[in-house]
Amino acid sequence: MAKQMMLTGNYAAAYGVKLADVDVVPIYPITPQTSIIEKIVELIDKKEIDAEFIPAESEHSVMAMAVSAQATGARCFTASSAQGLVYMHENLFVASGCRLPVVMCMVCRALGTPQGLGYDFGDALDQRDTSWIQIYLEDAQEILDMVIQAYKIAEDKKVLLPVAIAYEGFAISHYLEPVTIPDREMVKTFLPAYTPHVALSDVENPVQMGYCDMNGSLMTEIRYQQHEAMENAKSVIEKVDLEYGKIFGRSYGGHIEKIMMEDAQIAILAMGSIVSTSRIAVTTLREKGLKIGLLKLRVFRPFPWEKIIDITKNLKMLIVLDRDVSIGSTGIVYSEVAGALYNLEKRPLLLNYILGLGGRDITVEMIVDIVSKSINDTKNGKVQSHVNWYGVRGL
Amino acid sequence: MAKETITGPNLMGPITYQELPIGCTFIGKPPFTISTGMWRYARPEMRKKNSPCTEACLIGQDIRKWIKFLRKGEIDKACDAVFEENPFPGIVSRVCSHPCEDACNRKQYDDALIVHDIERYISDWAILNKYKIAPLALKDKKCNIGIIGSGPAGLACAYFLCKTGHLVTVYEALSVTGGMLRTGIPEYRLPKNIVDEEIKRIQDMGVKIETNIRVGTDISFNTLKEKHDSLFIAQGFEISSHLNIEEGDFDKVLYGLPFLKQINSGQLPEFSGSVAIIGGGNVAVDCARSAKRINNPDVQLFCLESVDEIPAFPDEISEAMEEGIVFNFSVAPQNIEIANGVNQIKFIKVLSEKSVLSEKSDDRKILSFSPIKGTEFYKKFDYVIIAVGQTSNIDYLSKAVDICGNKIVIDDQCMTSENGIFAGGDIAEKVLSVPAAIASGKRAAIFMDQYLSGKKRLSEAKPGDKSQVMSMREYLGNDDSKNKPSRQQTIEFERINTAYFDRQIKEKTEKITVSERIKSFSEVNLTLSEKKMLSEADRCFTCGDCSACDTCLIFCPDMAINKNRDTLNNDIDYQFCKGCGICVNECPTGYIDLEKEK
Repeated sequence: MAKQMMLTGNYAAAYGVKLADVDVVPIYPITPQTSIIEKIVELIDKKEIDAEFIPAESEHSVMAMAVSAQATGARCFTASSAQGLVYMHENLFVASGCRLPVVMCMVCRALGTPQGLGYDFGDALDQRDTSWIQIYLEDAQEILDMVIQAYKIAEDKKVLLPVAIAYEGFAISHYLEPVTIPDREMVKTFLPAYTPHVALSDVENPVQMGYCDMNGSLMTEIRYQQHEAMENAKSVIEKVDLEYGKIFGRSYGGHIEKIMMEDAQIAILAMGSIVSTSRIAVTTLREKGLKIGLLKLRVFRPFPWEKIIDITKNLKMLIVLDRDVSIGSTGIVYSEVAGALYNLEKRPLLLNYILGLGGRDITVEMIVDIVSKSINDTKNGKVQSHVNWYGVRGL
Repeated sequence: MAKETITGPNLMGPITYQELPIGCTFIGKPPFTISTGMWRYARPEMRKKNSPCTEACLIGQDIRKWIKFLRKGEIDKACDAVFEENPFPGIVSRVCSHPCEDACNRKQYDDALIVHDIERYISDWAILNKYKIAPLALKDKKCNIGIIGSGPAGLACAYFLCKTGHLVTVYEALSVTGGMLRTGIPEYRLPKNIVDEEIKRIQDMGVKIETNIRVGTDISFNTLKEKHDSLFIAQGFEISSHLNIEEGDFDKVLYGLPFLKQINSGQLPEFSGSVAIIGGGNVAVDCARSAKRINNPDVQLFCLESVDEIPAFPDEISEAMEEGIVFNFSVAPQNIEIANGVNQIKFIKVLSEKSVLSEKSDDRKILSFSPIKGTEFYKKFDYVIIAVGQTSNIDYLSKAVDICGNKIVIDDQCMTSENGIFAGGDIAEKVLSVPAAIASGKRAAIFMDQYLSGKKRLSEAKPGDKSQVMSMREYLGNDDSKNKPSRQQTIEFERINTAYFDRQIKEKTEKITVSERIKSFSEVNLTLSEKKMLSEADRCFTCGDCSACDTCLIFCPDMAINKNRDTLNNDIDYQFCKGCGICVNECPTGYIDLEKEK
């Protein structure tokens, strides 16, 4: 029986892990993800989850353990943030190189220095080249549902890539919301047990995983395989989302959720909690008569450039809100979107706003202000200022 | 069963991305094996080496081995190990100067192990538990051997020959057995019941001892020659040497050996007043301490040597000093006369000079003493005991074997000028202690057994090149021959990884109080309790041998050291050992060496 509970984002993830019938959870605490692993350990202690948890000495070891356990045929979960996430950076490549379907919650937090606990996407987006599937979420319910879906996506034989579920620390991870917890038996039919294509524990068929390619004679082919898997992931993600919607009644729109886009001429594109705020801003602006829509970018890797082209090609203007920046360049999401739209003959005017770094609050007024600024900027049909830092004291 | 060949396509060729197995995965055995051992250029070898205690021991005892057994709680096996090389642990532990302790590596860390107390504990256990030795039935042809003298050299030779399967008869001139063990060393140092027990043990083994037979008087040497296949002459020195000076009234001037013999037979002479002892050796100190115990006279000892040169054992000297004996160093007696009914000795101070003589590979320092003019002084004493050396009378042998002065001439294999006649102990070699006599007896036994078996004569095999120690366990092939201690290598302190040992000072040997000591001839030193003995045994570094600590196994980063299920040793798997040397560095005992890879 499905039941409702008041859960924070992190606890929702823990319940997702419970339903996904995970086997091994290597752990290391870091704010703001610690309550996920605390809850998981509590549930293990209460015998609600049947899993091994391994307190490691660092996040680097956590990922090493996750990779090793997954390689023997165990379904693994872990979580990290900011400094911890960056500490395990090396091993993220190992997980994807060995094509092991580990699932990790990236509870986003700004990367030091300066050290801080505020949230932005700097840490998660910094891992965009690790060949992990990355999905960015908006609320606790979505987190619980996506943890379950993540295993199905990752373990699909045409995919076999690790999946990262990313959401902002504190704003989402610590917010209590009503969450529906699906029935365990129904989840079991949706997500069967993990059947690895090879396992280190199979002594009848000895396997060597993760060999060296000393002269680069295989690198290109291996990377192409990963690329192909990512391409396959695009359709698998959509398929799993629809299937989940059919069984549990909740679907999230696949790669991109379209909000009020039917006759939109302007659109805002964002990830995570900015989308929640933007929903109100866009409603407000619609009431004022502006034909504006909102795009919630969920899947960042594989980057859904075909979808973006399809949705935005007839727009007049697209504003990309980045709660992140690649210093020396632009906002990261903006650069990816710009790359996707470049070859179109007819494409929207593209603007980038960088804001909310380190957890600085983004209000409805700010978003409304950004829209009006953008309209002003593009009065002549051209973009005057492509990349804008919003809310910098002194600017 | 494991797949012996790779399945799927050959990854070395131009393989397409569709054919390539995903996840950098090989299924089955790869076509080549790269194991970490392949790029090794240095190689660890587990090799047993000599421990410094064994190297220093005059008898060549495997002290490390007994201690290993004691730590495991196997005192019976420790006892077996002792008797492999030493027939008289109870005696030796009480009278040896323990060079093993001076050599002990632990001395350089905190304190040397009190090995002699551990040996004594084992010997006490052996006596208490009526430990018996069985001769080995090795010989098809048992030979009949005759030994002259039942002192430590003679009895040790008897023990080893009996052990190797021969029939042995020992001929003793006195009515009591043991030689100096019985008539020389006093009771407070070596209780006679210990001597009884240890000699009885070898008699129970099969050694025949016939007392009251003086060779040359009661039986002729030629008769013995005819009776036996081979002879070992070990009659020792039973005569005290005289001083080259004027001696006064013979009543009150005594000599070391007869004095000690009288005391050891239970007859205590009358003493009162003061006693002077002339001499600096163990016999002199024995006389001094014995004299002190008879009505507590004022006892003073006078010797030529300085405090650094005095040949008596340091333990004896310190105990003597505790008992109130005064030592006067670097003086020579010039004459003894009677003045007003009292003995008066004229002394002069001397200067000692060292001249270094090289004999074979021995550095022997010979001391010469020159009197310092004008330093004469007189001292009055009621009694004088002269203990300046011992000698022999071997005229009865002058026609049988070559003699030089008071010693029989022997070659490097203990044989005299007469074929089949061997000699050892004081009568043939320079023997400065009981263990040296036992070693002499053992060496002769090995050479005699060789001779009697008609085998090719052994070359001079020594465990350490420093002394002529021979090992019975090696001779009999008992020593774990797959892991023979390397003769050239003795573990030095620097090889011990002291990080694995906490500092712990030694247990103190218990002694009876000084006031108790001088009242009687009760034994001065007491045996350690089991708890203290084990505490001492735990301090052993196990130099050069595996102590089964498993440190190498734990540290090896390639997991290339594994326990052999049959032998329980740790073996190195050279397929995977990359020669990092961590095991060599960490091994607490220096058991593992790092060498160049062949």
